[in-house]
Amino acid sequence: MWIAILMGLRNIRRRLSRTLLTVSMLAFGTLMLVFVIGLNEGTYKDMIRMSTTTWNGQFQVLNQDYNDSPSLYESVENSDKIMEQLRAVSGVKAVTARVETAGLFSVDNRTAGGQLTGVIPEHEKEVASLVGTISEGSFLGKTKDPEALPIVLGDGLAKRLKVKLHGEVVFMGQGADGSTAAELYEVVGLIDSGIHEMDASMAFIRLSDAQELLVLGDKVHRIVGRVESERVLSGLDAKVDLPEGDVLQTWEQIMPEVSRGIEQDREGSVVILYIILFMVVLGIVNTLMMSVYERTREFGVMKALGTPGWQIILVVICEGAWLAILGVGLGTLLGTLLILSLQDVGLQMLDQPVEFAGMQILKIYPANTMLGNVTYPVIIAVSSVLGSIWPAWRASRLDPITALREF
Amino acid sequence: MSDVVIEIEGAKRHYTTPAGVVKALDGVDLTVERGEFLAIAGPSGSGKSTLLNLIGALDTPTEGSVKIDGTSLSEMREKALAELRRDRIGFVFQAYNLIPVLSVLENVEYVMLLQGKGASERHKAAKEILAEVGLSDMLDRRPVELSGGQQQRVAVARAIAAKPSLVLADEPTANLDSATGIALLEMMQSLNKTYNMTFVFSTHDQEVMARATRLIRLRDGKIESEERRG
Repeated sequence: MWIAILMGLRNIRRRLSRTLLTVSMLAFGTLMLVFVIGLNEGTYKDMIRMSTTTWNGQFQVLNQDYNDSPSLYESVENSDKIMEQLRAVSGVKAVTARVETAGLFSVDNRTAGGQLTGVIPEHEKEVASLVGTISEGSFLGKTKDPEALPIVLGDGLAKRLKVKLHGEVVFMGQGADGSTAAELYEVVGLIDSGIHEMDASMAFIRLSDAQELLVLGDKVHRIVGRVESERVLSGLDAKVDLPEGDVLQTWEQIMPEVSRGIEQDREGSVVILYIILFMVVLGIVNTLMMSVYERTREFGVMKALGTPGWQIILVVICEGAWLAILGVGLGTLLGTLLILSLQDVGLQMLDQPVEFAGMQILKIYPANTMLGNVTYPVIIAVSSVLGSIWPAWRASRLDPITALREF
Repeated sequence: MSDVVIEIEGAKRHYTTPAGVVKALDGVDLTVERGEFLAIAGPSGSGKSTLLNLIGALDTPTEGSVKIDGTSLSEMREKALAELRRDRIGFVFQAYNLIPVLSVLENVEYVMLLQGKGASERHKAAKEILAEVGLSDMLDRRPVELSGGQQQRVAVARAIAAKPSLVLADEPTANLDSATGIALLEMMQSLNKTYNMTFVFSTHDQEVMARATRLIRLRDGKIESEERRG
């Protein structure tokens, strides 16, 4: 075996210019793949980050039926205890609770439907970046009228109602006891999240005010949280004692369309892998075929001396393996370094920034991942070795008498 | 072990070509005993190379039989023929044909490596034989760094290092100047005597013919004459 490895290495040094060309082709192909996958994965990370940090959080505790049929009655009890347990888990960064209901907002004779959410302002700021998109006033800060209850409106909703900062808004809905829930609020802030649907329908009040209005006691509809890293999410549900009927869902369950979209895009990127694989295997086969052709006489001598066919196959495969190790190794190294150099500063791919949920997207921040930096390069290297089987087999099948006549 | 190394009876090797059947060998009988220094001569196309290919287990006869050390080649499959070449036959080619990526020492060790011999045994045997052919100080050189004569000495060392019964040399002096050729022949004669190893040459070289203990002349695929010396 060692002789095959040694001969493989020395043979690729024999035709240095051809080796350099093949290694460069392999390295370039691998570099391209690593970088493109890095850009894709970086984009996915950004998508996940934006989807989770804007409003939904990375995990939620809710009644198992709530997402399918949101109802005032599908609530979570003992929310304080659950939040306490979650905060005690290492890696959980922030937790907050929400109450949600739909109803009518009125100003004078103007009425608009919308969603009222009761939040804990100081905790909500740690979970949802939406809170930071206040365009006027404050997020549930002090009212002008000391007796009034504060409300924050999406600026779209405010426009529909033609209400300004410190104006009065009446909300009308239904309480959990079947009574009419109605209250007068003073607008203390306007939100411009950049998400049209949210800005046109969302309104926020304090959690305690919402629980009182809707006669919910200490019940909530969602407990929303953020974690330091994705790893924390795994097994998180087992670390809290949830009442029967309540579940802890991760962002993938809360927003299946996001994870499905990423998966579909990942599947699409396999096409790039196939193209690069085709290019690389063709290059390897071509290089080794040339090499075998040039060394016909040498293989004839080896066969005449009694070298078994499998050993000749091994010598040629080792050449392919060396080329793969050098080319794929170099490409992966360069790709990884390129991503490392850009992962914090980002790569500007757009002329104008795109605004989403209060975040401006102007750059893509590539990311090194297991898939792009290990799995795909290993597939390229293995395919290169497999590509060397055909030339190797040809070499092993040479007739020594015919081969020895070659010059 | 029998003293007969090569036993050929009625060997024919015919090739079918678009122009018709070519009778490269047409009924050759030959017995070679251990320790002979045999030269096969003849004009181009007389069948020298074909005969050497049959003896070297690189080819099998169309008719007749070829036995090496009593083993008939006719029924052997490719793998068995390769093992026979590895274990019983040493080859010296006209164009030296050393493996270019291996050093002198590694080239000489190569056949022993195929035989599965251990590293220390290989090193010892290869160094000893390289000392005999006068190349002890060139163990780490690559073939490209050697002269033609030195390369052919390495080829001889490779052929005999694994102590085969038989060494086949196809025009070994053809690419060498006469002085180098004579030196190589003297060395091979010495090895022939030292190891009682059988040497079979195909040659046009008068010097080789003059030193052979037996000279066989081929013409049109048949033995034309046979001359024993000594």
